[in-house]
Amino acid sequence: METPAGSGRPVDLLVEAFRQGRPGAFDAIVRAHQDRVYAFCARMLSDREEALDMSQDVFLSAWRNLAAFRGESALSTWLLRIAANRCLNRIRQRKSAASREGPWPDANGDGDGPEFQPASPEGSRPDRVAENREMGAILSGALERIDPDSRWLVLLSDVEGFSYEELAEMAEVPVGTVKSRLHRARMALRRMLAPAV
Amino acid sequence: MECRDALERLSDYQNGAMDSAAAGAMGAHLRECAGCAEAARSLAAVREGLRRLPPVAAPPELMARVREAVAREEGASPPVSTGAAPPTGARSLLSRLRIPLEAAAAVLLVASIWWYQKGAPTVSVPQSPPAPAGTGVHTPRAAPDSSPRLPGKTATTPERESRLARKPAETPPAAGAPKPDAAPPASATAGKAEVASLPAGALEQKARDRSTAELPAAPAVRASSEATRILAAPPPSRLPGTLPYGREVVLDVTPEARGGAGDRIAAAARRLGGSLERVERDPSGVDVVAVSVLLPEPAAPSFLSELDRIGKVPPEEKPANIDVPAGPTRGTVAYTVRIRVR
Repeated sequence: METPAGSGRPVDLLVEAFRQGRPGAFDAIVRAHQDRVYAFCARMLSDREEALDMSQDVFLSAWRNLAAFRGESALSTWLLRIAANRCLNRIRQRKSAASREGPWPDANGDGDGPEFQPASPEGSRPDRVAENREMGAILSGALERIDPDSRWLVLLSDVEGFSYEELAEMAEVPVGTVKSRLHRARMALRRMLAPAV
Repeated sequence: MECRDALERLSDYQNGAMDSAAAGAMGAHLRECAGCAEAARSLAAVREGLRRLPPVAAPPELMARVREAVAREEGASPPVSTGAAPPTGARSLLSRLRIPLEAAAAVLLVASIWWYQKGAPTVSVPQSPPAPAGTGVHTPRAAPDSSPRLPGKTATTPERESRLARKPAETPPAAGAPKPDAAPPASATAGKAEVASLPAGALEQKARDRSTAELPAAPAVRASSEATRILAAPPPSRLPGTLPYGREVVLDVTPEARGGAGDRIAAAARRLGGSLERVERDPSGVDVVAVSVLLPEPAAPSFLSELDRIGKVPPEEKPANIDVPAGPTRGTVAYTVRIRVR
């Protein structure tokens, strides 16, 4: 199985098969990566339909550009990079179309940003929080509330296991910038989740 | 170690990325400071929670939708299986053939309309009412509505226009956003086309000019040379919207500038007294791949200069002679700017 920073040998074979015109090769590529790409898009966009659209868009873009894919990174890295770009664009489109989501909480870790507010007052009761410690759901809610430019870093680093170096290369910023941005985002998540963790 | 420093470096500490002396100092501080120890504990819990996020499975329809999208791109009708696509060879051949084929089809269409009009006296056709005196407007035969409208541009046109106007611009990625993926060549992404409304004056002028012609205007006359590709704009009421419109210009933009390029081109045309005619998007509906605009002829040089500010018009794509009329009417010039990411 391919790892984010690994050699990606099985997928390289699929890419090779695709280039050679083997029937079903692209299907196999989609099958191998669709869960990961969709999960990333769903967590970035918090909307099933948009995540579906975006995942389709990512694979279509991959289909168009696979011939030019040089294999310098793993295919999954390449696909998630496309996904990150597309999702960020979509989020910015949403914000410019209608600022219905309000400002993103500040993820600078200084404690000035708004705290995580659970969706309903019922859910904010400490006993409820204690009862429903479903970290997945709670974390997903908190992830929605951090700056998208930090969210994709958190998702790729702490969920997908990308290295700082990979993220720095993707974001075209120094490794130190990635580290500090990630740390601020994690600290913001920690503050938001204070009642639950 | 101060609490502030400790909190700043908690991730590094947990990653084992501190040297031994600094890690020792941090450990000592965490043993002494309950607040920082609690922060370290909850930070670790958050990171562990992120690592253990439950897996999300892609909906089953994703595969079908990808297949359909790829099949649409390939031009195949039944999306059976997306095997190896011919992203370069076959597709570029198809795209090279597309325009000549479309031009041939358009010529056939014009010939058949002409043949029909010539042969019409043998068919009993109700006489159209004469045009009002002095207008010089001839009501075309078999055209129940001679009002200057583009096909489909009925009462819904303003709505469509406002929908276009509301369509959010793609914002270029901010610093620190991931590098954009390689974009497909613009020529390979013929896709959805949206027709925006023309200013009323331009529409009327187009209709007057069309109506005075004895035969329908040639839909797309292509005069190619090494330096320029000129297309006479098709009369929109008689042709499918996928034909090239006006003079084709390729605009190279950086991946970062791609997002807002379409809007900037349209804005430049409007600033120069022109109008947005058509926006073509890739099949995903997200990226603008071509923008067609109509301009007053004197504004053509300024428009090309504006394009050079948005991106770069490759030398081989620069029209050698911008005075050649390429618009639907004398005095107007139409451009289709194809956006290519380089």
